[in-house]
Amino acid sequence: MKTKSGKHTNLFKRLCLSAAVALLCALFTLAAAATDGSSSASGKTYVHDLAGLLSDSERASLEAKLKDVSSRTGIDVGLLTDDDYTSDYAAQDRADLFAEQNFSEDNVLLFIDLSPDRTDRYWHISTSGLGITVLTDSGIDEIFDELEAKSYGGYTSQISAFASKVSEFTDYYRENGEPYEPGVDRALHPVRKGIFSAVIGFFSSLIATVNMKSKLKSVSSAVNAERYKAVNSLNVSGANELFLYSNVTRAPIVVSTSTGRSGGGSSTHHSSSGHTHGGGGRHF
Amino acid sequence: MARLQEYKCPCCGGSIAFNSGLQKLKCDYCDTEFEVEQLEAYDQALSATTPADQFDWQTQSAEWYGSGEEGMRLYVCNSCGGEIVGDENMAATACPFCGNPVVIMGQYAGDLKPDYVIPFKLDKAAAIKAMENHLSGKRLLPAPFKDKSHLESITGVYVPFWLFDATVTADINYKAEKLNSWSDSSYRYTQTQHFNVSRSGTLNFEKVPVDGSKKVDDKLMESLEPYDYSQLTDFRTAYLAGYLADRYDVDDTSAFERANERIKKSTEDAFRATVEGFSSVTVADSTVRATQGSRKYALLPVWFLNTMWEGQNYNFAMNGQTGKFVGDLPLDKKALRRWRWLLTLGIAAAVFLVSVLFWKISH
Repeated sequence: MKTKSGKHTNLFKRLCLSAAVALLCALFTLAAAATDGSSSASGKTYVHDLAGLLSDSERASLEAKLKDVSSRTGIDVGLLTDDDYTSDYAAQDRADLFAEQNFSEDNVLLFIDLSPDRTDRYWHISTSGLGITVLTDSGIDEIFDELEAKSYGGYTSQISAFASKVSEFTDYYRENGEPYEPGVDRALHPVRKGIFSAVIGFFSSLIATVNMKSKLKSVSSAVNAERYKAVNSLNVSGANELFLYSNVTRAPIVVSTSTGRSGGGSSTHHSSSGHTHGGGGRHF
Repeated sequence: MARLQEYKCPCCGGSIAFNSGLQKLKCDYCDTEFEVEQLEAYDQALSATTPADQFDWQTQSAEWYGSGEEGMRLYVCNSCGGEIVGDENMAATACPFCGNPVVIMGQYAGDLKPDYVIPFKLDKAAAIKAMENHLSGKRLLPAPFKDKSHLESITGVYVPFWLFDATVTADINYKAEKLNSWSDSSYRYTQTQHFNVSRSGTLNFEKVPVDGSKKVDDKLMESLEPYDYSQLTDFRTAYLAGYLADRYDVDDTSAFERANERIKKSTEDAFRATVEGFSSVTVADSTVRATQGSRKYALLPVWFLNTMWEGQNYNFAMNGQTGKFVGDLPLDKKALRRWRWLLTLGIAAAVFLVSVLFWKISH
């Protein structure tokens, strides 16, 4: 027979248990809410919209896109927006911020800094590790050109385009073994490779068939009487070399001015924390 | 009447011919072999016989050929009485009726006697084999050519050649330049030094061969060179037994013009080679004079082969001493096109694959 105190004990126990579960749930929710946007299973957040440029749905879709590109390319792609117009120096510190966030050493980060009155924007790309290799200075230029061109489409389309470009450049790098360098001598595009192979094929076959054809002809007039020269019979009785005159011409040396980055590659600098970063920035 | 010399076996009376394998005369009937010297007696008559030119054959030929086939001669075979027809240059042949080899002594008598002969070293079988080799391994030769073409004729002929010795005197002037270049910070300088260069001297040539028969294609004969002159032997008519031979109909002065062309080229090249150390040399003027030294008349062995294919005549020749085989062959246009496409695509594909794999492996 249950005593009145026993009933109370059971109830109390159950209450404690439910309260603990509820507390835990609340904590989890809070933890989830603490990070902007949805958190991924790996714990990385790709989109940090501190300037509040994106709506929730835009943020969610961009988070998904950046996550997808990151996992596919092996290079973590992150975004940080801020309405505190800052200098390069601070931007590098923020790159380290991503590193602390479990971002891999190989990353490409896009910073959008707005002036406090939101009239001026400074777009900045920071690269690290493999990102430095894949995104060369001229490649970054091309990305900025694309982002500028897509201004009409809004931030979502621009950031999306940025992610696509990173993906494209990484694919190119993996396929050709060399980073994408627009305007600089770059590795042969597959189509160019095809044309090059076709040209080689054509000329080789031409040489081979001309050789085959020549085998059919064996009759020809003799050109000279080399075989019939009496051995050692050449007697040069008179040899004279008379200097007439000399003239000197000169041509100015043309110094070629290189427009843009003729050398290619990626320029890098060290941040305050000692990491090496590449990248570039533009106002638009 | 020009004497027709027939070579009869002293043992059995059958006809004997020069055997290139044995380098002796061999009787086809009793297999007896004779050294060429043993039949020297036949040649002693050469100096006694009057050269064929001296006889007037016009009436004879006019009677036989009516329409004026000039230059044809008619002989009568001593063995069978058959008529042997040949042109005015024919010197050795076989009777078309009884097959006996005959040599028309008049063609080689007196002044017309050849100085040298290189006897045949290779026989008819060798010539046919060489032809087979010539036709094999030629990817652009139409396949039917090898099978369907049949030898129209295969004849061993001693072709008359002039062998010229010559001494050349050359006097050549050149314009030559030496270039120097250097640069400083703003200019690139080029200095050109101009020179007049002269060279004079002499050069000797020995036994430059020129085909002495109008009938025979000079190009074909020049393609068969060289002959090994160490095997030049004194002429004996016995070598001709079993082969065809002609006497020359291009006189040595005319023939020398061709030798002169070749000699001149070689001389200019030889002297040009002595001008060294210049960046560019051009000939300003050149005087190259070849004076004909001694000239020799030699009979050199050639196997002529002839095939017909698709209405066209194809001539081949083999050097009867060295075995060098020449002759132009027809081109199979379809095969050429096929090969061109195949190779272009094949090589292009291979290059493409290699370039793709190369990147994949190194990255």
